Amino acid sequence: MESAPDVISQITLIRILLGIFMGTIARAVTLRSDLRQVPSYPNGCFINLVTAFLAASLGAVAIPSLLTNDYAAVTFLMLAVQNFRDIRKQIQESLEQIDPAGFAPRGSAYIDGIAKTFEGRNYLSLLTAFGTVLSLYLFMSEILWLNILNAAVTGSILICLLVRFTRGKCIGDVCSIDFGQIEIKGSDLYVDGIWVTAMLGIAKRKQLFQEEGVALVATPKAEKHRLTLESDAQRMAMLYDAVRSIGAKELLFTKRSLSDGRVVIAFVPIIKDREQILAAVRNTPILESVRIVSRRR
Amino acid sequence: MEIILYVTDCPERVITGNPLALHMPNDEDRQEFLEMMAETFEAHVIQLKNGDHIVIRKN
Repeated sequence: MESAPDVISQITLIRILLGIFMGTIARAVTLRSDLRQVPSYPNGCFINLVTAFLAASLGAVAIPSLLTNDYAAVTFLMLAVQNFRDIRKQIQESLEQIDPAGFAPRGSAYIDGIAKTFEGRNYLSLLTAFGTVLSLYLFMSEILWLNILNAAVTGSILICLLVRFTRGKCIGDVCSIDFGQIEIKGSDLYVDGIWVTAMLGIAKRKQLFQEEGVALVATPKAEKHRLTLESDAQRMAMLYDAVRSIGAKELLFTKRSLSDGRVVIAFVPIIKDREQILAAVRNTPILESVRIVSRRR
Repeated sequence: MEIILYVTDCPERVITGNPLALHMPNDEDRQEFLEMMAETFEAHVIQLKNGDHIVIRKN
């Protein structure tokens, strides 16, 4: 029985390294700390890059291992899947622990979505590295620059395809969002005629809301989008994204109009940047748990 | 949601029990008191149609 060589050839090493590089790049281009502040910078980003490097390494060595009749590589891939699941659980637990500490809670559905995205990004690295190395082996060129070119093209195509496949929609895609007219009658708050709350019973708070409060009204573009917009989890996510970027003094409210499906988000911001508030709410991702997927039968 | 306090200007509406019901006829004093209570307990204040106030706290 022929045993595997002790030292791998230079071209094999280059192919593996190119796979690892493209796999890590795949995570780097999808790694951005936006207004949601996930992952946190710098340690959160660093952890994600290292995890992506390890995922890419597993993906990159799979083909060379199989070619040397080393089927243990498949077992390692199974271990990687288990490890990614553990990472998802860790992120979920971590975010749930810090959830009450913010201006508004994210909610369990939003946290679940973030954790799933993190897990998915590891698979993105693994598959990009796997696909790049597979392409290099199919191409079978010994010329270095041709291998680099092949890896760059294949890796870029895979990144584009996988990112496109895993990208979700934003709230701005399914509804129009504008600022609403605030009206306070007694201790009741109305926004564009929608009753929001009766919790403005103190003169000081009424004045605060009247002078500094902002209220957004989201109107669904189609009747079917009401299912998404009116979900408690989705409204919580919209409120979270709105106050995460500009802060909130107090008095955070969300309310839906049962008659026409409009949703109101009202609060008193710390930074009064109306454009930023609008952008934050429009860019709130549609949560996977409330997403409506139409299937033709 | 928990009702912490009921504040009224009518002594007939003050009945013993839980939550605590207070009679405060002076509007200025009442506003000041309610502000302090709301700040202390991080609570919200609802004013009823009859003018009475309820201090509530979200769990």
